[in-house]
Amino acid sequence: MSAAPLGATPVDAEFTTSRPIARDVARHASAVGAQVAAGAGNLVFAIVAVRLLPGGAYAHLAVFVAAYLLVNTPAASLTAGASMRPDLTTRLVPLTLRLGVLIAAVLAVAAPLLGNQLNVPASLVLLLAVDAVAAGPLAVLRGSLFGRHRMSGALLGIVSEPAVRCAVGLALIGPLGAVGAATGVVCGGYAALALCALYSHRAGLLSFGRVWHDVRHQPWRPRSPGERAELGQAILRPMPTVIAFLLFAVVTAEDVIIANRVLDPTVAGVFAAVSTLGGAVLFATATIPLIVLAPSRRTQLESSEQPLLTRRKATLTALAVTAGTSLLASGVVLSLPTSVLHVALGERTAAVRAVLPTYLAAMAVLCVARVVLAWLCSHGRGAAAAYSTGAAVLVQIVLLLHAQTASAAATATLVAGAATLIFYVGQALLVLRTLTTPNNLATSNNLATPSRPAASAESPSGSLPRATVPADVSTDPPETFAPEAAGPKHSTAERLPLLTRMRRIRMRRPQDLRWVIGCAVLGLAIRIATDRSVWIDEAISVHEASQPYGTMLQLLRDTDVHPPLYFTLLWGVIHLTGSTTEAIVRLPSLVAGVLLVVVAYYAAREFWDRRSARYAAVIMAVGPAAVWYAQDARMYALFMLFTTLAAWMVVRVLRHGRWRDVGVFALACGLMLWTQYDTLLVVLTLLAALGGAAGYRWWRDHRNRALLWRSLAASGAIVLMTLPLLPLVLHQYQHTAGVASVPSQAGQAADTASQGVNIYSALAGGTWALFGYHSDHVMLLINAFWPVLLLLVLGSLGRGRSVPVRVLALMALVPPAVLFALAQSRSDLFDLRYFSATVPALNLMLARMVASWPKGWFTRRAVPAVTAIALVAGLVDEQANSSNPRVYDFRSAVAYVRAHSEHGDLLLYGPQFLQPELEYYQPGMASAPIGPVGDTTAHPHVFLLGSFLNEKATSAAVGTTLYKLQHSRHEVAKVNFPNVTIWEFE
Amino acid sequence: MRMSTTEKFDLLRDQLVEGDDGAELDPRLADPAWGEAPLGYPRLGRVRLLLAANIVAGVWYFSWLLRPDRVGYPVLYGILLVAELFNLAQAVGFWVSISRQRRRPDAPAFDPTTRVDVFIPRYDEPAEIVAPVLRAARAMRGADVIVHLLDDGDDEEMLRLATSLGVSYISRTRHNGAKAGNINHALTVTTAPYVVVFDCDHVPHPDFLLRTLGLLVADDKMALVQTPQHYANSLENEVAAASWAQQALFFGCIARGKDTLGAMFCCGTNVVLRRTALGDGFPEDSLTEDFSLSIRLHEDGWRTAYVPEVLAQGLGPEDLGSYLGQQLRWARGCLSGLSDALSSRLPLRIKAQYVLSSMYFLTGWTVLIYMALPVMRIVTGHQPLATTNADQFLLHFAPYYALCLGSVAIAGGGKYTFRAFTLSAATYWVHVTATLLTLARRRGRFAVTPKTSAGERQPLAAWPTLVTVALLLGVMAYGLSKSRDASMFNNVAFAGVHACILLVGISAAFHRPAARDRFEFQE
Repeated sequence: MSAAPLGATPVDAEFTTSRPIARDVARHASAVGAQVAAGAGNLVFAIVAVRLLPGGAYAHLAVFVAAYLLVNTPAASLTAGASMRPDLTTRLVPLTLRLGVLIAAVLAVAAPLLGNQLNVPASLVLLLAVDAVAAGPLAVLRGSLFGRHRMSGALLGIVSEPAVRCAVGLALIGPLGAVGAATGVVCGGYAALALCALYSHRAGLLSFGRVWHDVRHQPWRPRSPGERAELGQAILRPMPTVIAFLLFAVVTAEDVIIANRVLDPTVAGVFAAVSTLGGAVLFATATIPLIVLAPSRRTQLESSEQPLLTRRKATLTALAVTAGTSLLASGVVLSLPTSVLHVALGERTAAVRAVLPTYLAAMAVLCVARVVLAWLCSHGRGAAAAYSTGAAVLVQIVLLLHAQTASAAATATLVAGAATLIFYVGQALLVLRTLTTPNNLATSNNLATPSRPAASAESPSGSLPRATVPADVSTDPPETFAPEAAGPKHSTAERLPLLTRMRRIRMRRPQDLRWVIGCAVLGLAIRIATDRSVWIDEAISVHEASQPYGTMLQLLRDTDVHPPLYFTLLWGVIHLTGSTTEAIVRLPSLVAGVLLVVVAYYAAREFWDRRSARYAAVIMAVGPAAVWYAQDARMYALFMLFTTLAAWMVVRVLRHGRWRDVGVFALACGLMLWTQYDTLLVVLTLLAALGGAAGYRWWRDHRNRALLWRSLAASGAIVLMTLPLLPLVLHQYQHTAGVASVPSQAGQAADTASQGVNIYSALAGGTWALFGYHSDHVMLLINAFWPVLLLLVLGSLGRGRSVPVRVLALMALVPPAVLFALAQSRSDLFDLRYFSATVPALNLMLARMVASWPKGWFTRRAVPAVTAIALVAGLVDEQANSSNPRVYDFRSAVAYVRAHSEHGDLLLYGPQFLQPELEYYQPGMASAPIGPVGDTTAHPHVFLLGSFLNEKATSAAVGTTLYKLQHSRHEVAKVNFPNVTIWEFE
Repeated sequence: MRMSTTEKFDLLRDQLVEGDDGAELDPRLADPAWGEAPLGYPRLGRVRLLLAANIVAGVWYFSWLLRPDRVGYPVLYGILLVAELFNLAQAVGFWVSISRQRRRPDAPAFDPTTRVDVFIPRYDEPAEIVAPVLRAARAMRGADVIVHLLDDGDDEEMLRLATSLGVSYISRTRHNGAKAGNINHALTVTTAPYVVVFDCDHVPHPDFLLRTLGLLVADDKMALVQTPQHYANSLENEVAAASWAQQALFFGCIARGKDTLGAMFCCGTNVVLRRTALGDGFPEDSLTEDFSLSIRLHEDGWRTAYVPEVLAQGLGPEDLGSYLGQQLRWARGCLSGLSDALSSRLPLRIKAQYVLSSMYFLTGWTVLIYMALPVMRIVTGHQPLATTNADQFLLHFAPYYALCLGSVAIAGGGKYTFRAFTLSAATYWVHVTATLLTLARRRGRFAVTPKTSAGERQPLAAWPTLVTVALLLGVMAYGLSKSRDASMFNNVAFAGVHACILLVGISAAFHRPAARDRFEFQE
């Protein structure tokens, strides 16, 4: 039987209603109902399996299920493709059957090896091989049923699978353990295949005889060129969708597999349980994207002129149903009484419950993302979505490989899910903007209507309609935007409130978005690829933010010297996730660091041109200082983000004088001041720039007061925003007398060639801002290259005057110059942390220089290359060189103590302010600050942890304690970690 | 009433371009930039503020440098000191010049029947270069103009050209004295009380005389009125652009300052002269006849004036070879005039300006010294400054250096570019050569600067620079192989910076100049 054109496909009469939204809701509701039923079945299966299987065996089953998903997910991706192109069913079923056999054979041969690698019995791999045969045909048949709106058949297949799984699996779990449960899983798949195939056969959609004939006789490679082309089209057209869904499935499934490898078995078992519960949420909405993907049924029934409207409403409906279902399912799982969970999870209940919120949030995000993905694929954006998803996969892998706890693994999935959703939404906005351009509306209406002759090209045989290529989507729109009022007011897009809003978002050309996304992903990957121990300031932040909110504020008032904005964010993150892992506490900085890349791109784009913007984004993504502070659980990344935003707005105000820019500028400045008090210098500098320009304009023309009013308004707004801080500032000053509770200059002295603040300190400041932190030796070598600055000064000759460069130069130079002057009396004030605005300012100016100074063919390539090499070298040295004086490896030091200690041992530490650090890493033994060493004979071992030894007072105190211990005990070992030393005595 | 730039250009083009059939427009006509704008005009308040800071920074640096305990290797210290003091003298002269910028009022009106002889000396330039100049010269308004084509090439085509355009054609049998001799010969066969000289590539504006001649007519002691030499091809050729940036600094703030001091000298073209002031005519024994003439005029009590407006569009050197030839001629001429300037009976303020202008062509020596110092340090280990920390040097030198460059940038109205600096630095050896030839009293030959590029790469034209770069790179490699400490890195960085400047400066020699269709001469 040959495939019939879609227009001639018989469709179900079910859900026929005159109200499309009601019809969509009914369809999604039925799908969700089936999924929930299936999910419930899976949940029962999982809970019983968890209960019946020991931790390790259940972990094996979880790995099998994840691998099962990995095998079935490409197949499920085929479901997505088949849902878009149900006409290809007859061709795809034999093909996937053959491929399945091939994969099964490979799996069977590799079973021992894979079993060893995955840490599971080989028999489970063999079961996986058996399943692989059925996975492809089942996926195609399901997609076909969804694509032809045969909901009853599709849903039957969905519900039957867990039913059989439970029946067979739970029956076999007793005698066979994990293998028995896995057998049930495989049987469920075959049962679903049988039902789908029977339904299709009876509905006239599939001929068993034809399939069997094709499997046996159809050549792998068609003989005639026409057939080959036809097959190629059939496979290649939905391929981006298949790959995108495949990668998406990897995001959803890889966490449990990697976690099983990197976590210890107990923790892996906890995460497997969490994954199972969370997977239920994901599973509940698994079908909805398929409905979104399916060609509009209405377009099969009638020649509608407005399918776009229908599809978008359908998509919005799908999104709403998905979000609601996800939240509902999450709520149900979270509200399960502990006793119920305990029945299912046993001793792991508490651990699971701690991680569950994070993971459920990740699943909810992924559910919504999957619908957007389906929408993107149905609009020809499968390839872009695949790239984005691939990036998210990489991000997740990197995070998972660094995970040490179940919470960290869950966070990795949450970050990957959020990244995925952001990427998809960005792409969707782009598509919407393109589609809602008046000239594109007519074409976009046809995107999902392959039957429309105007939009689809018939194959040579005339029987196989080719997929419609959204030409207007795949080509770049014009650089400038059509005026908002350009389209007719009664156009479809104008009637849609959401789309109207979308149109007002000033999206740039697709190249802009690709660069921004690419650089943001690059920046994200770099920032999470490496990590370092939480150092003392971070530990203090975590300690304060871990308290109840009121207590935290009180701590800030009494013991700290910072405003509360960053701590409030950190407090929210910690209490939302219930975790204080390094990845979690650094999340606000990470987000700010990645946003800085985006803001830098658009600021540079507006300041200068696209070339400069691209360099700006790349430089900001790899800039060592920007990377460093995006990995720091402190407020400096936010500092950089807000200062960049404020500088951008100043330039806009100077250029255009728009009140909204004045408002954003004032807001950014206010946020800055609520983030860190040192930003006052930046705020004053920017206000001076604004006021200076306003005064100059007024001086030249007394009637020109517009900028003057704007400057005054901005100043007033900033003052109003910061007034509430005044009591806090006064209180903090009285309690701390302007001195932080810890030495804020840690590591600074070692960065400069000589002690104190001198001209090399200024050079070191510039080096830090551009090339990051390095060891003394490297800093000396870098500073020796100062003659290059002479060349840069010369190079600036005749470059013309530019408002952005002036603003950035002021922002880069004035705060450090003021601090440099102040540092003559108190040297610790001259530290990059306190003039962090210099980092984005210098990076932006560097980008401009790289983009605009070279003119010749060679220099236009050589200068960016040399710059990139220098920055990457700086980044690598900063991150990898353990001699970096800013690295304080408390994590390794405490791990050493933990590994070598026994019950009753004592840990002495100096200086005293290390207490939050030890509180964070929890050595698991009694600890006390150094001081008069009392009787330590009760402790078998005594460990002395010393840090900040470059400070005289600390060094003396630690030395005294060391001397006493050396005279009362035997020194077993002395171990050096970066800026931390451990002495072990017995 | 002044015309706007656009109006002026339209008028000129209407007059000069007839029946354009698609041939590429002469850059002197295609996109001329008339008036004061191409020269830039600084804000004097800022300049003076900067000068004050410059003085402070200079005192700060030299009070540190001149202390006895700074002496490292005495010979090298002495050489460094000479270079620094020379540059300081140049800088001080520059500061004095730019501290006051005269803006002359419009030239007073004069009798339109005033007779003016316009001399356009020509040696071997083609007709398409000369024709627009003749046409534009004929179109000058405000006076009774007679245009003379002074053909030293005895070219029949020039005769036909002059005849077809209705201008006087003057040639001579003895071609002695180069350009000066050519003009002097013309002076003997013409009679107008005022003489205008245009190089044969400089297209004058119709208002040229209206903007300049009045100053001569109104002041009997005024010998000459000079206007800038603008390179119209600076937008399409990198060598011409860099040359123009150098010219813009001179014809901008420096020339305005010289005018304020009464020390502006003749630059050989785009100048109006009083015949009676010329006396014996242009000196024929100098490569820079205009410079020598100016000294003589000032000695004789004549005054000079400068109108800082682009009133003629010319063609700058389009390749490195042309630029080098031009610079060598100027350097030799000015250096040979140094003795005249020093021995002249002039007020100090004027004499100092002549001496400074002549000595500018010694700056190549300082470049050589600065390049040699890191080389010496790397190779021999000797350095001029010892017993001091590098950070102290940086602390004292950096403000002085930055402010000096800042004053050049601000006073030059942003017209002086990096390429102009590098081109000047990369051809340092021209100054060295000119000095040596002058000291050897080798007689030079007047060579006309080519008006179009050779159309090919000219790496060998800058072979001394290439040798220097190779030497610097070799020394850098040697130094790094010897040691990799911070001190060595610092000197290697210095050498690298010099190499970079030299390479950028001569980069034009490695590019084939963009082919420009010859603009057509229409008879």
